[in-house]
This record gives sequence, C-alpha cells and structure tokens, in this order.
Amino acid sequence: MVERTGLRHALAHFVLITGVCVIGFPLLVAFVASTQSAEDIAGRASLSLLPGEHGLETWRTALFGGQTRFGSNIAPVLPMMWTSLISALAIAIGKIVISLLSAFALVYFRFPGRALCFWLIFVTLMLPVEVRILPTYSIVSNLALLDTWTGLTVPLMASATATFLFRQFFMTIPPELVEAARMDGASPMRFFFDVLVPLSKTSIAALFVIQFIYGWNQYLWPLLVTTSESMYPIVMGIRRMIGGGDAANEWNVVMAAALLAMIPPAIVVLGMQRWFVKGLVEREK
Amino acid sequence: MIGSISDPLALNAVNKRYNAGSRNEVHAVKDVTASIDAGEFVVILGPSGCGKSTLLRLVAGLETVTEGEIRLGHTVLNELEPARRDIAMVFQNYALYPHMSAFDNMAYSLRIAGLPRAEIAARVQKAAAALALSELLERRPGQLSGGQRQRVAMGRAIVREPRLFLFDEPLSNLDAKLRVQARLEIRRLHGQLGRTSLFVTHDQVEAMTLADRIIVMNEGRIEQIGTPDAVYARPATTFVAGFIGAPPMNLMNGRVEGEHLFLDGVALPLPMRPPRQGPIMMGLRAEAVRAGDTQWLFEAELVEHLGSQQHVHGRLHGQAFVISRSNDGPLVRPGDRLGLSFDPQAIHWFDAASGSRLSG
Repeated sequence: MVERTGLRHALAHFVLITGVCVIGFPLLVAFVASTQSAEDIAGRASLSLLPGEHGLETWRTALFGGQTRFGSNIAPVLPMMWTSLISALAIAIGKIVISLLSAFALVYFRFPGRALCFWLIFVTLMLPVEVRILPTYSIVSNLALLDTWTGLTVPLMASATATFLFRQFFMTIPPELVEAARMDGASPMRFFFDVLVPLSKTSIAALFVIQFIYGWNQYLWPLLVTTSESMYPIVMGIRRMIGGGDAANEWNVVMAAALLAMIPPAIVVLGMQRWFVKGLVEREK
Repeated sequence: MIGSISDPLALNAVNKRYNAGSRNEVHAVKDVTASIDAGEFVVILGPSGCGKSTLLRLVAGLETVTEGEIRLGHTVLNELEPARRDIAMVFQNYALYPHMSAFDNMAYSLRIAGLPRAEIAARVQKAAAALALSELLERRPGQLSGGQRQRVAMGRAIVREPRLFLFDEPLSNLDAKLRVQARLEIRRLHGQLGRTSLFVTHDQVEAMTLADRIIVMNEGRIEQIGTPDAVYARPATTFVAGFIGAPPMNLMNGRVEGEHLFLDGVALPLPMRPPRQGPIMMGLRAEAVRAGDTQWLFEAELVEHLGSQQHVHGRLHGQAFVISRSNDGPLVRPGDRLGLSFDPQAIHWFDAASGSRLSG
C-alpha cells in the first residue's frame, strides 16, 4: 500500500509539474523577452532565456506609450487596461444582476408565457455572440452606440448560462422558505435581497470570476463597435501592436503588454479563489 | 404580552380544488365547516393526503380558497395576503433562513413590520428566554440541533404575537424523546399565551395530548370534531374508530338477527338489544374485552409485549381481532383459544354501508 501511494504521489506530482511547466514556460519566455531589446530578439536565431537589461524602459513604453528607437509609435497600454477593466466589470456585474433577476422571475412567479421565456433564454445558450454579431452590430449602430461604453458592454450582458445556473440553484431552495418569508410579511423584492441573494453568494462569486474573464477577453465585439483609440480594450491593443507587412514588430513591448493584460484577471482569480471553488463545489444541504 | 386578544376562527363550507374544471381536478378539501373558539387549541388529525395540511395552508393564505369563507374574529381572510392576516406558522421542516442567526430569524418579521430596534430586541429576548434559547441567539440554523431549530421556529412565531398560531406537523422531524418534551413545551406556551392555535398532525398521541378539541379528517372531509375523550369514547364513524386508539378499534362485519350477531355463520348472543336488524358493523376496543366463559371465541395468533401490556392479535370467528391485556394476568400464547366477555356499553354500532355511528 505504501509503495502504491508513493507511486501515485510521484505520478500525480509528475503530471502537475509537467502542467505547470507547459503553462509557466511561455510566461517566462514572455517575461524574458520583455526585458531584452527589440534588436536582441530580432537579431538572434534563438531567444536567450536570461533576462536582459532593458526591462524598465520597455515596460515604461508599454504602459505609457511613446516612440521607440526604431521610430514606431507605441500606443499606451494603461488607458486600454482601464477600458478593459471597466467593460469587464460592467459585463460581469451586468450579467449577474440580469441573470439573478430573470432567474428569480422564472422560478418564483407564475405569469403568462413563462415557459416560453424560459425556452427562449435556453435556446440562446446555443447561440454564441459570433452568430448574432451582424444583427447586433446593426442595432447598436442604428442606436448610435458605436464607440460608447453602452455599445461595448450592454450587448454582452444577457447571459443564458448564468440565468440557467441561478434558476437551477433557486430550485434547490426549499419552497417553505418562500412561504415563511411570505408569512413574515416580506415582499417579493425583500425576499430576493434578504434571502435569495445572500444564499447565492458563492454562486455569484464563481460567476463573477468566469464572467469577468469572459468580458476581459472580448476581442471580436470591441473590434466591431470601437473606432476611436480611446475605446480600445487591451486585447485589441496587443493585436494592433503586431504590425503587418514590412513594419518591424517590437516584440519586447508586445510581450510586456501581454503580461500586463494578464494581471487583472489573475488578481480576480487569485483574490476570489476561495469563493470561486466553494461556488463550484458546494451544494448546501 | 401586549393586548392578549384572542380571536375565534370560523371555517364556513371551505372547499379547495386544484385544477378546478379540468379533467385532473383534485378536490383536496371538501365542505369543511368548523368553528374554533378564541384561545382554543385545536388539532387537525388525519392520515397523509387527507387534506389537513392543505386546510392549514388555506388558513395561512399560502393557498387560495376555491369556495367558502374563512373568518378570524370579524375579519374575512379569503382575499388577504398571508402577511396581513396576523397569523404565524411553524413549518414541518422549520424553514429557518439558513444564512441568518437565530436572533435574525426571529427578528425578521418584526424588522419588516418596521418596529423600533429596541422593541425587536426586547421581544426576541423574551421569546428566547421562554424557549431556553438565550445562549444560542448568535448561532445559525446549521449550528443548532434539531430540537433547537424547532424552538427557533417556535420563537419566530411567538415574537410576532399573532392572533392565530398554525403548526404544520412541527414535531415530526424530532426523535421520540424530544417530541415528548416539545409537546409539553407547546402545551405550556399555549397556556401562557392563550392564543387560538391550529395544529396539524398525523400522530394520534400528539393529538390526544395537545388538543382541547380534535378535528379528524379523511379524504378532504371532516369525520368528527370533538374533545379527545369524545373522539375516543364515541367515534362518529368507522374511520375515526379505526384511526384513534392503539391498537385501533376492532370492527366486525356481521348480521343482526333478533338478539344475536351472526359472524361467519355463527350466532353469538348479544348482551344488549341491537339498534337494528340486518347487516351491521360492530366495534369493540381491544382494551374493553376480558377473558370470560362465553361463546365469543377468540383464537390467538401473535403476541406483542409492550412492557405493562400485551397485545394479542388473532381471529374472532373468522374476523381479525386484537385484545389488549395487562401483563400481570395469565399469559396468552399463540394458538390459545379463549372466550371473551365485555360490557354492553363497550359495544359501538355502525351502519354497515356508510360507516356512521348508530347507537347513542
């Protein structure tokens, strides 16, 4: 038995260490590249794995923008991160609020067309943003919402997945709880805020993490609805740094920007990890 | 308690139909009429599915009345929201808010009602003291035992000082020992508060020990309303006779001819004049019969020992019969045959077809 568990441990460690290497190595390469000069990266056949001396300068350029020695204009990443942060937060919070409310309506109210509403929401689960992107674009543009926060975030807020998840969770809440709240004199919204929302805390946290990253990683939609540089999210910004044709790519700056783009989602995941895991694993009584 | 007003509850031809008018209509409560006096403790007793919980939920306002009227004091309840009925309910699974402390659970309705903070605290403390919960107010339901949760649920009802208490099988999730304690507790609290109470249960011991009066229900209808003694001593129907008492009353299908009861073709002399001739149902309590030198021959098949008593299951001229004997008498063994004697007053007569009581 001891031998077997020893072997198992070794195997588990091997798998995990391999996984960490596979994920960690590109990050290391990106970091190393961001500390070297553009010539070093372009000139050598293979990238040195030792950090160079140009780190500070590169990161400053990436964050605040400016001209490089090659004369290419680098757009500052900091405002893009701000755009990304605001829209990711708006999308995540918006999704959660709308899903909570619609799940509440679906589970606790009897109204004509309830089943139809549920099925309509359910069907949209099968339609990703990309499928409905043209009609959505046309609506947003007709409403003159291009290049606005509203246009950037609102069309991404409706979420069938989250609605469905909350619906399933609400259905596990014993019906006597609603009845007790009714006897206690709680109005529906009071019940929602005093009982349902606190009970959904962990699910909300888990969804927030998932939806924040979803919002942060949006690429196609911002590409369509933003035309002014001030509304570009960072994911688009990185793509724009990689020039096509004969322009030389400043890989060091691109790598720095890519690493910068990873920081906020990483903070969200690490900061909410405990809640996140609880929300995914836990099924209370 | 402030203004210990108590109100009578009147149920007037109350009906509840689910899916009314459609093919799968369910008539859960049928023409229930009852009046419950102010301050009275009434237990609704019946087997599961008899409509007793539905009736309670109609009074609470959790279900809507299809026909009929429910009146508390001078207020017609039918169209009132549950919150505006001034009724508190204790649920079977307690329905405590899992994320709130015991204190918050009890205080919730008062907060909604907008009472001043100090008064809420005072009322909760008082209820907690009465229920021995004072030390546990900071705990959440998950950190409380079953009995403690049950007391918090009671506390949540008491703090509201309602006009009417409803209990929906609140003791059925407790183990036997706690159940006896909680029963005494409820009785004691009712004595202190003196509020009209309606208590639903399927447990006849709970009903007999708690009730001022019992309403026995079956298949949505009231079978009998009466004091525990009356329901036991003079069951109105064979259903009540068979439901109340442990073991239930022996019921025998026979024919009366002259002064004899014919069971399985055997003529048995009756110690009294029967109320009518022809087919009839005769009832005898297991504890009302003695061994005696008669033609009522009982054949023992199985003996249950219950400490002070033994129940002997067997047959009386082909019909299933149980007798209850104290343990100090001569022992009965399976296969023994003995004659049974009983007082004329011990006999209950029921109509063979309708099952309703015949004799006075």
